[in-house]
Amino acid sequence: MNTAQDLLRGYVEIYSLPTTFYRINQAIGDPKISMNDLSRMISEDVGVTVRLLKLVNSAFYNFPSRIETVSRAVSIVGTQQLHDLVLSTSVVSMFKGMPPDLVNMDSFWRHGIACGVAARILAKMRHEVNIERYFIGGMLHDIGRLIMYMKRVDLSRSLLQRCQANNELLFKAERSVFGYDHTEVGFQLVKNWNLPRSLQELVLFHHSPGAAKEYPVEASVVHIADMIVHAMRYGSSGERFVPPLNDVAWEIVGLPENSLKIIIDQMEDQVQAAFQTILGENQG
Amino acid sequence: MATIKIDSLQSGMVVESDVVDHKGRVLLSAGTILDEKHQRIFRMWGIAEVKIQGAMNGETTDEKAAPSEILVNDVATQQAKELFRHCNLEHTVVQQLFQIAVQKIAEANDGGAR
Repeated sequence: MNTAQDLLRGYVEIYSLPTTFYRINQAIGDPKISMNDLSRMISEDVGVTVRLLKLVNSAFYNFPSRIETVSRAVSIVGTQQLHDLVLSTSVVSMFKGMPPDLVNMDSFWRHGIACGVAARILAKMRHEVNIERYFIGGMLHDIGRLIMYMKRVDLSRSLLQRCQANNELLFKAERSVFGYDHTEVGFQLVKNWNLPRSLQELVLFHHSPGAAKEYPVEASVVHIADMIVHAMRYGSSGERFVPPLNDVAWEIVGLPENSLKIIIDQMEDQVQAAFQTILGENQG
Repeated sequence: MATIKIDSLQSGMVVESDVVDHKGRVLLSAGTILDEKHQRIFRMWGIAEVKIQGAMNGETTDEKAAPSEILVNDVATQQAKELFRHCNLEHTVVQQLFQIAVQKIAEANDGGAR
């Protein structure tokens, strides 16, 4: 039992995403399903409905009047963003009841969501077509860590204590203790979930984007976004330090050297609304 | 023209020459009119004193002191150094990120937590 794949084996609860996700996802891709059918399907899921309405009424869209109906909301956000919203809320709802001394879930998701926001801004500056894909990638990049915390409670606890005591980088220490790290576990997980290949590579190579074969840009964007979020101290997935910059990541991203300030300013404008949309009512 | 220590700066004073940090990057260009936030910013970035237009020599000035002295024990800088302990601060992009982090940490230390 010493590969990332073994860690997931026989773990039924997380082996697939909630059925709502696949149902809505399938409906989005089905030309025979009308907007009305889709809206009705969404209305049946209270959690998704609440978050969808919250999203369209947030500062991100900034409409003058309140959007009250699901069908109106769906037509505003579009199907791609609807897919991402259902995915992100599904994933958040799957990981409840984690050992609180290992990980604070609120902090974990704040780290991921802020990373998603930063990745989306970076992608937009690069004039990428599908920038929401980068948001999801940023949000899920450390997801493998949750499996490690759940399945290897004691080992994870001693590992976190060791990093605390010796000021070590967690992702390097993981490898020395487990023989693999959270990027491989996360990769196996999103692969099991049948999420796109670009997302799988991004999760696997976000600490080593130069090694990505097909999607080095995706991996590099999230690599930089992760550094920014660590430096700005938005939440935490367990790592205490800004991860070191990969040699080629900044060149692959290819933005001007003075972009950071602009990215961070935009991120601060958007991040609170993103926390509220995905993490729900109890957020300040 | 005179060099004024940052504690003695007042709103409305006009900067005589570019204010630069220890790496030579311009923080504030010549001709800028100071307001309250600048004093805080200078403190964060380790600027000890600034050349001011029209100020009289003698009034809270010290012409001989070196410009832009680094305040090494700046708390925010120390915290950022800890945060970046595994990073190569020689890299220009990392350096920029570091300096923004120092600024944000100083703001957070100053006001509410995030």
